[in-house]
Amino acid sequence: MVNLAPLALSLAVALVATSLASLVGIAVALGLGKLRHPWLRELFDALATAPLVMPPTVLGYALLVALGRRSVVGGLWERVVGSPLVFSRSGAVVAAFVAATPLIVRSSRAALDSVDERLVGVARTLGASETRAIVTIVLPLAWRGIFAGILLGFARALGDFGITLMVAGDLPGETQTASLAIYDALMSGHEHEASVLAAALGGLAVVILVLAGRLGRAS
Amino acid sequence: MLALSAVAAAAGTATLAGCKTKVAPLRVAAASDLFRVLPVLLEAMPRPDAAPAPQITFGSTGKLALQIRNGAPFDVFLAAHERYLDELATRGLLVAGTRQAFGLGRLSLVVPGPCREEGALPRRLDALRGERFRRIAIAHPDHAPYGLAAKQAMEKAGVFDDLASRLVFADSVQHALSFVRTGNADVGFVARSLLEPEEACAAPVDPSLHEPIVQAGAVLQTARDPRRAAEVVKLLVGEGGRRALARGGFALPEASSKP
Repeated sequence: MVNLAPLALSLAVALVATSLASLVGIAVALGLGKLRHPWLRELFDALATAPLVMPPTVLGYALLVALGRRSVVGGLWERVVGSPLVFSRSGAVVAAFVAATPLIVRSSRAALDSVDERLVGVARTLGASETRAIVTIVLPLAWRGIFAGILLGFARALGDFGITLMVAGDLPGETQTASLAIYDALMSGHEHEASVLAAALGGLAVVILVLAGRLGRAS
Repeated sequence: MLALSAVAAAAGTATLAGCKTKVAPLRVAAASDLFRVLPVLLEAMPRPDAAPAPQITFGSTGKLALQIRNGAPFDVFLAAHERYLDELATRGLLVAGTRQAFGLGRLSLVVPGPCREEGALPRRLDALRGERFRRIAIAHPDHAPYGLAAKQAMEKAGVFDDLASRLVFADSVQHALSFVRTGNADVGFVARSLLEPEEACAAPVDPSLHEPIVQAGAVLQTARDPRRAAEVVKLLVGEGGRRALARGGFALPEASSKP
């Protein structure tokens, strides 16, 4: 019997991580749009995309050092929460968050850029505040593109392997996500278990993406 | 389009023709516990004129075996556990008569440095029960030989059940070592051969607590030149190889033993 718990864990981790990544990603994309200096804007845009280019294990190692128990952030976390950030479910969420965010930033920026600035101008002349213009005009018009980015980010978060392996370790029942369980099964020669889990992960991703895609179009 | 492919084809032929005059390098798949020893040893290996230095691909033994089973083009496989060679042999992927055991892996406990404080370095496995060892890094016991040995040792010492919830599984011993080196695991089970020769913060694990980690190598059926490939295994069991392996943190099997 194949243990499906890693699948449930992957799903939970990806959902939490994608929610956080959406908030941060959209905020970053909005902020980038506000930068008037074209070179500076491209530079920050490139920096926000850079994690996509980095090999995941390298990125994971960097995070392990930056958020590890000897780091400022990791030490602070341990003092507040009482247990280390690395090798925990929170660590797995951080890994998936880092994997998903660049995709959400990229897509959101393209979607936000495509909104006709004259509409925002009209709203402003009619007395709408900056925030109100964003909430009532910009975000609704850009929503489809942003949503596509969120789905991409979710898919990436669901399947992450390299970053999670480094930051969250491989604790069975604790941080062993589906991707790690598939890899372990494959390496141990349990090819049947690996294929069942891989098919389940793939199937789950397809179902969620189709459903979310339909919902996104309807809204 | 047609013109482009014609150019590409011409370029392809040119490179192929260029290659013919050169001797291809040996392609060695090696367990990651040989990371420090093997490159130096192979660099000094006598080779025919114009032959480039052997290319070494390091990885966990389980991963390399999986790749070889699926047709990875290596000439020689040096495994951290002979069990993986058994499996390849039953599939007919090894050249008969080329297989030899060349070393015994030594398991070490390592803690993040500096470790001058009393009790910082566990000398016995039951010391691992101590409060200070909250996270224990080991290579995955299901597919990494040193991980399996670590698990066996903890079981035999009667501490495995107490420590199970503190274990962090790494992909390989090298990965487990990086968990310790970055200070994120409080202690780790690693290969002695991956540590500095004078490593202060490491203690050997009693080898009688686990099955021997028999390092063995063999020439693969995919070898382009099996005779030259066999030289690599001969080098490891030869006098120079044994000296280098002993210096590099391996124990040695009886001379000229065949598994």
